[in-house]
Formats: sequence, C-alpha cells, structure tokens
Amino acid sequence: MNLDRRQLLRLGGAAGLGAALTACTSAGDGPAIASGPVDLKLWTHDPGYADYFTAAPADPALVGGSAWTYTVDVTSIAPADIVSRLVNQAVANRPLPNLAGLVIDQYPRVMRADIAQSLFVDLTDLTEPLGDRLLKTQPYTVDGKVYAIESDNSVSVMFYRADLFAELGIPEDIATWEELLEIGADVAAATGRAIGMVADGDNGSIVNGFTQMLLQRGGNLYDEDGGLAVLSDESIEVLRLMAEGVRTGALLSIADPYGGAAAAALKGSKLIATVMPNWYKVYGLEANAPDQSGLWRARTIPAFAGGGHIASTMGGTAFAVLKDQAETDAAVDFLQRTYLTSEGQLARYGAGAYLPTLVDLYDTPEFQDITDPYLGDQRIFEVYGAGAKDMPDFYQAAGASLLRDSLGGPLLRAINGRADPEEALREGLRAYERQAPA
Amino acid sequence: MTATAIRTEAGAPTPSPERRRRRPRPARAGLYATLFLLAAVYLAPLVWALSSSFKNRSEIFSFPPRLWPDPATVDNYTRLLSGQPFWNWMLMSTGVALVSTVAVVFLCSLAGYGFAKYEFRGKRLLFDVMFSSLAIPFAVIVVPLFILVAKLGLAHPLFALIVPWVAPAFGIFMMRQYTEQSIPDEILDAARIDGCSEFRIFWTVVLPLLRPALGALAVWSFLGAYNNLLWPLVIVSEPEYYTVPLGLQALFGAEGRQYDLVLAGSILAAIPAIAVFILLRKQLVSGLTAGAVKS
Amino acid sequence: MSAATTAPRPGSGTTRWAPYLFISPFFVLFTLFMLVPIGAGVYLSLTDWAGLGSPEYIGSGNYTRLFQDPSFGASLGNTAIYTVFALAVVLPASLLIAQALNARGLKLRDLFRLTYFMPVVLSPIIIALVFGLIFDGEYGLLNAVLEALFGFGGVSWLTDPFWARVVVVVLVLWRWTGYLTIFFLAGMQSIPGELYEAAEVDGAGPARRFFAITLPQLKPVTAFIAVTMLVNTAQIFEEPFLLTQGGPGESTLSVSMFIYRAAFQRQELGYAAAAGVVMFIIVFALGRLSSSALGVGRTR
Repeated sequence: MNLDRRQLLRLGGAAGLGAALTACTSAGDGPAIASGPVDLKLWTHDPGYADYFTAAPADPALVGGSAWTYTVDVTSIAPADIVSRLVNQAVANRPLPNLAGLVIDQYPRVMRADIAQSLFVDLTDLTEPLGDRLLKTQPYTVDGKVYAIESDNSVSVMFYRADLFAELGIPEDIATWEELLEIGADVAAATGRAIGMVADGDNGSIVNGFTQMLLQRGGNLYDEDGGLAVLSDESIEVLRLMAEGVRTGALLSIADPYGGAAAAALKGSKLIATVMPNWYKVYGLEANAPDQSGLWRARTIPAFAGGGHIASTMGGTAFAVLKDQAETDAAVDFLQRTYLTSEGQLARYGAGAYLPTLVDLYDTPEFQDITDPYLGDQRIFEVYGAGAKDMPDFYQAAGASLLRDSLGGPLLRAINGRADPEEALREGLRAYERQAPA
Repeated sequence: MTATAIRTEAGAPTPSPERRRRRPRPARAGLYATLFLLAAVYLAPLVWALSSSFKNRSEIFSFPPRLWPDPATVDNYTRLLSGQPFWNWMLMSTGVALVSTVAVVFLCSLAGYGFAKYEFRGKRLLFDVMFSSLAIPFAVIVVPLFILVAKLGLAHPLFALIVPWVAPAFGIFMMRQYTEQSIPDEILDAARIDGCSEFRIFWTVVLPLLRPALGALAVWSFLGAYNNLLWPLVIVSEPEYYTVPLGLQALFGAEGRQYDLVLAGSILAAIPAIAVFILLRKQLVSGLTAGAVKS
Repeated sequence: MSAATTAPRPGSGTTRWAPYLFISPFFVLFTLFMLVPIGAGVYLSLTDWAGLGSPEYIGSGNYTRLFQDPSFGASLGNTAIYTVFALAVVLPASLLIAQALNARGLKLRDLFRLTYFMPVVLSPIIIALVFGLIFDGEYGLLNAVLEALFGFGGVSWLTDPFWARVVVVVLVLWRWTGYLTIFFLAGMQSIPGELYEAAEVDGAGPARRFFAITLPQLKPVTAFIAVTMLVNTAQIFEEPFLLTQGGPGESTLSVSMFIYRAAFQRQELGYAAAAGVVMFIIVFALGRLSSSALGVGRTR
C-alpha cells in the first residue's frame, strides 16, 4: 500500500514532479586533469583565506614538485550562504567551485542526509597518516570519515589591556574564573569597565559564547558518538557563572561580538579583557581598535575552580574539495600542500595569523620566535602553544544548527537572570527534541 | 473619471479665498509642525546612513553618536569600489530591473486592456483566478518553485530573476482599473471601423492614453525588482550574477561585518532607485489613484 | 459595465480570440510558476528530502512534526502580531497622514509625499542596517537620545524578546505607512468636492465631514489596501530576517523566515514545503474571505 502510493506519486506526482526530482543527472565534467595548468575555483567568506590561496601557487615551498601548476580564483560568499549555494547549485546542476570553505558552525548542515558524502571528497586518506599530530578533525567527521580540513586551530585565550590592568590593580596572573569575576564585579562597580563579554544577539553568537566556556569547563554539546551532552553539571555551572558575571557587570552584554557594539566598547575602553579565540585579535581587536596597538596582551584562560582546561576553542573554517570534477585531484593535491605541511601552516600564519593544526609545530623555533606588535611584541606562541596542548575536543552532529536555534532563547534568559540555568537548558532541549526529525 | 482629470493630481479642489479663512491659524501651524516632524522621522535614518557612510569604521559606532562625520572620509567608498565588483552588481540590478519593467509594463497593460474592454466567455472566472493569485504568498511557492526551476534547467540567474515575474496580477489589476476608467469605448469603435487589427488598436490607440498608469506601474515594478532580496538569495549562487542586495548581503555576512562598506554601497545603490522615483512620481500617484480607488 | 454595450462584435476570428491572447501571458506564467509549484509543494510536503538524492515518501510525517514544533508555533504567533499591527495601526496611521496631506491649500504637499514614500524606494538592506545602528542597545542613536532627553537609555531594543518585536513592528510602520498614504491620498482626491460643500452648508465640522463623507467614500480603497496589507504582512520576511535574524531566540521569527530557514539553511525541503502548504491554506483563506467580505476585486 505504502509502496503503491509512492509509485503513484512518482509516476503521476502531484504535478508530474516526482519523475523530474529523481532525474538529477550529475554533471560529467570532462576527463580529470592529471597534470599541467589548472584553474581552481574557491569559495570562502574570509578575505584572509583569499589572500593565502591566491598567493600560494607562486610559493615554491608549497607547490614545488606538484604535477599541476595552479591558478586560484576566489569568490567571497557569506558563511551561511556557502552551504546553501553548494546544495542549490548541485540541485540545479549548475557550476560548483572546486574548493569551499565551511565555517565550523555551518558544517552540521552537510552532516545530514548524506550531503557531505555526495558533495565532497573523503579526505581521510590525507588526515589519517598524521594521527594525533593533526588537531580539530572531529568536528568535520561524518560516519568516521573526514570531509574537510580545518584552517585555524582557533585557540581561545584571554586578551586583556595590560595598561588598564596595571592602572586598576588587576593581577595579570589570576588563576580562576571565580576570582576574575569577583575582581571584575568590583571594577565594574567602580569604573563601569568590564573584564569580559557575553553575546546576547543572534542565536549563533549566544550559543557559541556559551559553548566556548562549556568546552573549557570540560563539557560538550555532543559526545563523541553524536549523542546530546548539553545537560550536565558543567553546563549548569557555566550558565550560572555567566549570569552572575552579567548581573555584576563584570561581563558586558554585546549583541554582536564582531559588530559595531563591540567596536564601540573596545574603542571606549569599556571592554578591557575578553576570552576569545586567536582570530579575534585580527577581526575584533585590530580591526576595531587599531589605535590600541601595543596595549593588549594574551594569556591562557583562568581555569574553573571545579576543573577543565586552560584553553578552549570557538569558530574555525575547514576546506572541502568538491568531488567528481575534472579539477578534483588537483584540488586535493593543492589542499594537502597548502594545509597539511609545515611549510603550508607557517605560510598560513603569515597570511592571516591562522594557528597551526599540527600540534608539534607550536614548539618549533619558526613559531616560538614570532612576536606580535599589537600584543606588545609578546612571544605569542608561548601562550597559544600552552593552549593548543590543553585544547578540549569539540564534537558536533547533524542536529547542531537546530540545537543552536532551540537553545538560543532559553540560554539568553538564563544569562540575563530571568530563568534558572537548569530549567533553561531543559526547556531548550525540549524544544530541540520536539523539532528534531524523527 | 478621465485621464486628463487624473493628471491634474496636484491637490484637492482649489480653495476659494473665503474658505481658506475658515481654518484657524493655530490648527494650520499644528498641521505643518506634525508634517515636518513626520518628515524628520522619515528622513532621519537616511541622513544617518548618509552621514555614517562618510565615517571611518570605528567612528560609526562612536558614543555618544555624532551626526557629522569627524573626520569625514570617502575611504569607505574608495575601498568598496576598488575591492568589490560593485559596478557589476549595479549593472546586474539595474539591468534586471529595467528588462523586467519593460516586460511588466507591456504584458500588464495588454492583459489589463483585455479584461477591461472585451467581453468573452469565462472572463469572470479568469479574472477571479487572476485576482485570487494576489493572495498567494511568495513564501508558499519559493521552495517548490526553486526545485522546479532547478530541475527544468531554468536556473540561469538571468532567466530565473526575470521571466517568472513579468506578468504580476497586481499590475494587471491596476491596468484594468485604469483602462476601464480612462479609455472611452468610442475611440476603440472608431479605430475598429477604420479597420485596425485588435493588437494595433492596443498599440497605437490605447497604450499612449495609458501613459500615467504605465509610469506608475514602471516605478512599482522597477523598485520591486531592484530591491528584491528573497528570490535572488535563493536562485543566484554564482557571484558573477550578484545583484546589489546580494553583494551587500555577502559583505555584511563576511568576516568582521563590513558594515562600513555596506553603508557606502547602500547609499550608491539608492541613487538609481531615488532617481526613478523622483522622475516618475507624478505618474505614480495618478496611476495608483485609478488603480486602487474604484475597485 | 459600459464596455458591454460597445464590446467588439464577435465577427472576425481575431477579434474573438484577441482578449484570450492578451491575457494569456499571465495564465501561462501563472500555471508554470505558481500553480505547478503549489502542486509540487503539496507533493514535496509528503517527503523527506535534502535536495540531493531522491525524495523519500513519508506520508503526513512533516505535518505531524510541524504541529508539534514550537518554532513553527512561535512563527505563526509572531506573524499574527505583525499582521494585526499592520491592519490596526499602520492602516489608520496612513489614513490620518493622508487626511493631513489632503488639507486644503497645503504647501509642500509634493515634498512631504516624496519624503514619506522614501522607505519604499530604499533597499531593505540599508534600512535594516540603519535601524540596527539606531536601535543598538549599547551604542545606538536612540538610547543616546533618550539618555540625553530623559536620563534613561538602557533599553535592550534588539536583544530583549519584547522590544525586538516592537522594533520590527516600528520598522513595518516606518516602511509601509508612506506607501499606503499615497493610495489613501489618491482616493481622497477623487472624492467629488460638491459632497464636502453640501456638508459644509449643512454646518458639518471637519470631524463630521471626515466620518460622514471621507470614510464611506474611501471604503473601496480601504478594502483593497487592507487585503493587500494582510497578504503582504502575512509573508513578512525582510524586516526580521535582516534586522534580528528572527532573534533573540525565536521571538521575531516569521513564517516566511521559518520556511526559508528550513529549506535553505537546514536543507529540509519537505518540511519547508509542508509549512508552505499550511501557510497557503491560512493566508489564502483569510485573503479570499476578507476580499469577498469587503467586496474587493469584483468584476463589475
């Protein structure tokens, strides 16, 4: 009966569409280009990657010895739109790029319904030989296979204004969050300045900010097998801490940590410290407060009294290779050379301050000797290296974007002290479970 | 009501001096105050955008906010124009809007004329179907329409952005209203006696008389196509076919929220729209008048 | 209907077929790009499909899920709020403005009208961006002005669920009032002056004249605008999409955004199509009901 109806729908369809829908022919894109000149099309949201990839083909340290000579054609597309357009173009059988940069919190969208499997090359052969040397493959793993390679280890550290910390008498080596928030409360009461921020704008920012602290505390959104792990003692503790910080003013609520409000808070020296990943130095601090160069420093995050890590992670972008195209083999080779070699990782830091994903590189002199003028010529890899060695693993699953939208509202209420943390988490999970496809 | 009567849209019946005296002065002052206040409310965001587009990035959000940029800079504009294919977006937007508009104006006036001046079997039903389609929200069809267009191989942006939208029901309805009220049947009869073909009558006799309404329809159509966001967002994936809203949307979503560039781009993009509107505003009012009033 | 008396005599074939030819482009496009999609949407709504591979038939599964989905409920509720507001506030507001603009001997009428219409001319992107700048909770212009004038300015306009809805609604008010004003003003200017003169002779004041003459005479315009506004606001997308992305939480999510999100941000095409079918039933029914109740679009 069921089958009959399905066949009927297929044949006649509500509008003869059934047949058309299944008749998706994949573009036979000509024979594979085995060597010689090849033009790679690449989509990314980040101008830093654009610079890196367009310069890479001219760097013999990277592409020397390759069978191909590359040119790279980059197109800038907003993060959420990259996934939408990959799928839309595939559905419409229209041109696709050869490489696509997928922002980490957009990646769950390709984890469902075999989208990753049908669009991307399985890159496990490249990542497996590197073993534990290579960090951050978990978030891009679907059914045990890796379909995208991370660009930036995204180590969260604490950035702070050394000048104002000295002026206000805040010690630079505070050991725990609890102490930091206590001092922060006094500072806020006395001066109106804040030692951290929480996002209270869109669901993505809210949940990302929460997740960053949760990971540091030792919790996670999903476990290794993709099961939900949101509700835990750790998550309740983290929410409570965030709410307390917001209540005392130690943590400043900002709608968009990368937008105008954050810019104004930085510029007005209202925000004098914040826990954010390395890339925030470029896109948050330097972009919005170029005049504060030399005043900022970085350190590992104060630990939670109850345990966890001294580092965390947030954000990141991984590159995937589109399969079944003439340029596919060349694109895999190019990605391998630019992303999974020491030379590539060093050049990548040079192009956009992206941190290596090969963990042993942090201790090499090439990285250890790097100093950052914006951070007062600090030897910055002493901090990032310590962080990279104690990075929590981050797992995600197909339902993550739904989870984000379900948790956003309740989390915000808890952070603003209008809901009990545990209740809020349960409410968000209830909403998630009612919406998740059976 | 005839076309000529509508064209003198400048205002209410000319007041006699005696009547004008009746309106007490304070009331009049209050009226102007309200209207000016309202105008300020309407212009404030535009002025704010204009002023912010000349501020550097960190100045845009300075607190307390400053109306005049200090320092004023055209840096946002130069960076936008040098770093982004902004003129391509503009070309795409205006091109799509212009082509759509020409097609919309032609097809709607033709159909509107068909409904207004002919009697034929099924007219009532067909008109009702056409009119009912106004009550179908676009969001209802956006998903299946995308699939359909994609699977039929019609997803080329230049086709998909234009063709499905060239005969909007609103335009036909408006043109039918206008035609009914402003084209005397005698003219048509005279033309028929002269042996003109039906299309020729439409083309040489009717169309020129519809001018104000055509202008209104053109503004409506141009602005709709020029500023459209949802459908281009769905159907245009290749950046070489970006329209201005898509390009700006991409900048806004890019790393670090480039609202400084978006502001500059929005100001530049507003220029053609405002120009079209100002040029055709008289026709807009008179055309809408006839289209809506006597429904 | 005057055309009836002078309609072309059904003599030559071309004359008989001319009207069908003239209206045919609409019906071809309507069938291809509206009717067929609606049918296809009904079919899709019974499947689970991410766009790649083949749709899997799942019966009424999407609908069962939809009616349990708190987000869909929230989006329906929010959309209802927007729509009621548009009809209860935007519509009367534009009528009042039109009345003010229609004052006898008003100077600068053209200029005012031009100004009030400006939001329709501008791209939704710039509008959302500027409203974002103005309503920002920490650094927005509005809070600064409130602070300066009244000494309080700490309203979290965009991040508090209640205020975020208010801001979306204000945006709707700002964006559409001027547009509707043009229709009302047009309607007012076509009311015969003799009606007012007669009323004045009878000693009717401005308020009486407004209620006794202007309002009843405007009924057809009002009805048309009300129905158009109903359908337009029911599919509101740009304002919440650009200004708040539906947040905070899902407190400004609209049905159109829900559909867009399900289809193009979560790759659940079947689910999105089901939401579309539900939306179609609600809006089409409301639109048709109100149209016939108000007598809009009748062939005379």
